[in-house]
Amino acid sequence: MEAAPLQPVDDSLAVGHSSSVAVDPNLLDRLWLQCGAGNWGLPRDQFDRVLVLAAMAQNFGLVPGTVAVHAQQAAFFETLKLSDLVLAKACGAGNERAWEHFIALYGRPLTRAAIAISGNESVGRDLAEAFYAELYGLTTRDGERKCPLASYRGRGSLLGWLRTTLAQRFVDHYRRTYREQAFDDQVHDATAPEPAQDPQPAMLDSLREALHTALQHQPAEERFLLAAYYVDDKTLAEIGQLLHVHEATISRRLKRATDAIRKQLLGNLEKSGMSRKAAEEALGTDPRDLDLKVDLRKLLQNSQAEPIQDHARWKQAVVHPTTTQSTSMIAPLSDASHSLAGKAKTE
Amino acid sequence: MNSTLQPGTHPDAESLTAFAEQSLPAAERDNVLTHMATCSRCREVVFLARKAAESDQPAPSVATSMPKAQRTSWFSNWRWAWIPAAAIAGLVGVAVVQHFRHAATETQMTAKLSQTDALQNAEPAKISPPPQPTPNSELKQAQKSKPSELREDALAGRDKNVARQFDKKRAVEQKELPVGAAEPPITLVPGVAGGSIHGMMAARAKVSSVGGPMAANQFQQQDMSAQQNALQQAQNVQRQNAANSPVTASSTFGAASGSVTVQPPSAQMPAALAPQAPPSTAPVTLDSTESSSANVVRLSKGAKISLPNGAGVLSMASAPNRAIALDTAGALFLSEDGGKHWQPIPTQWTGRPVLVRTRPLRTQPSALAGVQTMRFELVNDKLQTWVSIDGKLWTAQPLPLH
Repeated sequence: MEAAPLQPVDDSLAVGHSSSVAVDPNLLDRLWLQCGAGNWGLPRDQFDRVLVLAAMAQNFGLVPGTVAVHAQQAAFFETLKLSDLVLAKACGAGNERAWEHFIALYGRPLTRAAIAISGNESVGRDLAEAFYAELYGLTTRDGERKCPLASYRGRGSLLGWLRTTLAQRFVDHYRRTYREQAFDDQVHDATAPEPAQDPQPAMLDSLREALHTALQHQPAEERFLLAAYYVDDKTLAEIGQLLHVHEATISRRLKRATDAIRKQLLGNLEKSGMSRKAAEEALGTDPRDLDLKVDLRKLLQNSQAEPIQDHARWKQAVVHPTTTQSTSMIAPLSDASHSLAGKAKTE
Repeated sequence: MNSTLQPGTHPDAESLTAFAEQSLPAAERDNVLTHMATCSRCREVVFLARKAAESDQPAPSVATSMPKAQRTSWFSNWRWAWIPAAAIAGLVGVAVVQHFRHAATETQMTAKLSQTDALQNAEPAKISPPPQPTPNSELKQAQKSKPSELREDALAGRDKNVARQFDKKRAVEQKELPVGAAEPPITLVPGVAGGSIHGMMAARAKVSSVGGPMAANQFQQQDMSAQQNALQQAQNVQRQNAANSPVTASSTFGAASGSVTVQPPSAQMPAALAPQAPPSTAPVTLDSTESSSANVVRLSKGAKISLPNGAGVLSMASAPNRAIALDTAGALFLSEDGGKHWQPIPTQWTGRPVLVRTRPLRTQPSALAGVQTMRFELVNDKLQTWVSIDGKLWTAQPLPLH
């Protein structure tokens, strides 16, 4: 089938003119009837506009620059959550009936999600109410009503999108609040730790460079596993549920990743002029010393903010580097099996 | 895209949702993973969203898609199968236990019945053995047992031990007999003179002696179950008479059950032995020795012995023209008129008499023609024996040299 480039239609297209739609009319009619867009008063031309905007934002799920054929277009539209999409668009357009349906359908789940995310019922209810107000468009920008639902493209479920957006709001709010509070705490506690003596700064520099290189050669998924497991202290089950795989699979992947990193780390150290014995000794360096001089966290993430759930431990690790937090960060790089065993025990 | 923090660097909520729901294309998924590998904020967002989804859905979709969940579902359909399985196992166990109990009971009853058959068939030449329903090896072996073994069956408990020791002494005596004067076999023909009847000393000892006191009877058993019922009823009746209750020599051997009968007497029954008193159900042992005399004490079913003191008969022995009876109180009586009148015999022995019987005299058979050839013996609870020819004068018999 030949490629049929989809041209976004103009917003000023007249309603009801099927000939002016960008999507194939037959496909558009089928999708329009299938998702029940007519129930929310969404005509075909507006439905076509919604589809085109969703497709253009993602290029039909293809690599940018690739032109989607009709079949690829149809396949992409089939993957969209069109029922949720038309409901969100109707709510964003101010359809009261759609809002009633939205509240009836997602009101309680959204409150429960907010409570689960915040870990506190009162905070969760406040978070949910604020999010309701934001969704309803009470906030305005440049005199225009802004509704977050307008950004929904239907790639995932609407409820999942609402949960993720709630989590984003909570995390962003928490990070702003923590940054303001943690600064005073760090200043106050800065005098507490004793400056550690570093007998071999050259070796630590070599180790940092070698570690950085080794991590860069790891696949994205393995780096994500390392970060989630060793930095965020997520459990194997939590990671497995997120990636839809069994926790045993996560354990095997972690073992494989740490072994590969250790092997590559030794090679990088030897390339830097270090003998095999010296490289082994460098890997056996006390992680607390490494943590003082080499912020390995920066090698795994470019965000300077710390995870929420490990707030207390993270703050303690930064201020008091002689704690177990730093050990858990470096341990997999020096002794993978030992760290995995210890982690499994703690779980 | 989120504009709150580091605008333009984080995937938007829709991409993170699609990533969590596995609806992202591979290329875009790698981009999101690459970003999340170095972004703790986005990792935290997706993990929190996942946590919220799990709290809202008790059964996450991940679990349902895993093969492990399918195995659990399969097992849950069969998790109640252990109930009928356990019930079947219990029934099988009960059946096995009952089977072994029944087998053990049959073994015990076979052993007891073998002893009883030995009493019945002590002299096969003169007694036609009744049909045996269980012709096993034990019964055949019991039929070939020595007459001295019959004494063990007559007594039980302490008295049984006494009788066993007495038989040992008797075995020694037999060794002392001259050649050709072997002790004649003791017949079990009721109604024939020259025998002895022993009451249940076990009644005083409250010990069952079922099987032993069944001499002079023949079993007409139809099957093994009837035989077992007879023995059990005899045990029950014996326990009821445990308080040294009076017994009569005319105890109905077969009255305990319909399966035990007594052969009809070969001659007329003396009046004193006629059934007058209520029949006692206490088993009585009858040992008879063959005699050619016509004037004999005959005992049969329904026969009754009435002692002057009214006590029950513990043991009785008969010889031509006379009979002696030992009551439960230890008194000995003699009758010379076929059991019509009984006269007490003064105590000439020590201890408590427990047994009276007849024995042939230790003389050459050729020198005893027309002479009394029987003697009475009395045994006390210390296994001491007294002998008498006429039943009136008793002489202690010295213990044999070992």
